[in-house]
Amino acid sequence: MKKIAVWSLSLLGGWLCLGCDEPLKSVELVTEPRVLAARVEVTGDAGRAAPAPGESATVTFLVASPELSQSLGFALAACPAAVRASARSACSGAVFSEISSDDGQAASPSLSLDVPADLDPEGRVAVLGIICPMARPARMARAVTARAGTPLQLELELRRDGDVNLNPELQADSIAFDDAAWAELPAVDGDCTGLGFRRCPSAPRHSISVQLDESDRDALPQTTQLDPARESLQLSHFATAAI
Amino acid sequence: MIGTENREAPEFVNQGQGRVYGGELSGEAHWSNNGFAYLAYTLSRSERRREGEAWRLFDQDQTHVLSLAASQGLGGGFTVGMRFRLVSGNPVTPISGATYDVRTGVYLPNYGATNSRRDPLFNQLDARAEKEWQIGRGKLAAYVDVQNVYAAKNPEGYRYSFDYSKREAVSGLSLFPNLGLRGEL
Repeated sequence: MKKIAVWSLSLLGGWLCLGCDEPLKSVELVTEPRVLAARVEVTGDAGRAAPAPGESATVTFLVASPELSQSLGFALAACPAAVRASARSACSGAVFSEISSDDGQAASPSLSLDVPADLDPEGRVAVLGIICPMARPARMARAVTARAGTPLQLELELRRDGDVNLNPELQADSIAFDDAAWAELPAVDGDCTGLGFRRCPSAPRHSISVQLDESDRDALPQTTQLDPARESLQLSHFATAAI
Repeated sequence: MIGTENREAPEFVNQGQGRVYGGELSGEAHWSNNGFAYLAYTLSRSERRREGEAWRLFDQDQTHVLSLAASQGLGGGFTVGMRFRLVSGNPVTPISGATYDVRTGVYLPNYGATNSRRDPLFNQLDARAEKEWQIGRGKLAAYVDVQNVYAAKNPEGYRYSFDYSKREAVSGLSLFPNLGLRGEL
């Protein structure tokens, strides 16, 4: 007996629903204390973000929280960064700067570091640590742990000839909210008075635009014509109450 | 074949070891010319290790596999059948949190011991009913085949929130009916 044909009809109906899952958490919505960014300022030249070997600098982490005043503990350490074989940062030498702060001792998590003068300018500095909302970090050798907290890593480039990395400074008049200049929006009152918050009309959709000049982005050394002439800037938006 | 530490050249080396051991019991029963059942149970363990490390479970290890299949002719060209499977869940490597890379804005998952946990037990019942007609020298059959009759939610993986603080199981197909025609000469 020879099978000559098989016809099949699948009743897919509503059983297949691929690619329609909502995210488990919205990345733009801050519902708990979160590290969003870091700022590096060279001591004596705060506009510069890349310290040279032998210079001092301060790394300050920006932590957003639904609470107006979030109490934090943190532990941070700086060391020469190992050559990266993966996305994970590690030390290639001894820790040269570190700090451990109990809950509420410091206004914001920051680390003052003294870059060793003999560090290779082509290398990087790794800042490793943990930030713990309302908790005390426990230091264990190079690693830092806490019962609840966010481990973090940051690699800093050192100052190199012809490659100046400056901190961006956004002025209020360069930011527009729904086509109105940010500075012209009315300030909020109540508990938030004086904190720089602006009152925005309720709407299902808002737009934020940032106006930049060509000179706002640092020039980059071009090894080939294909290399970008200026750095790229990353802009992100976050909200603590609504998207 | 395993990857080298820090992906150093040559990236892959033939230094991994694997072993598999186990056994199987099976039985078949025929109670009439058109009725039978088949039952099988497999107990096995599949492991891997790197040089100098302890044995760990292989990604596809299925320690317990129980299969039951049965078919019964009902007369008049009607046949019904079913298959039931009960299998150990796949080994998974737990994620115990994440490290935030401030430079890139990306959370990097912190992995626990490789394949140190398991998905829940996989279980699924499939059923099939068929009607066959004799047409001249040929045959024509119509069937309905239903996979995962009781819509078991067997996880086939997980998706995580951006910071790895929440996870959700991604299940395979739910109840899946299939209508078909089969012809023979």
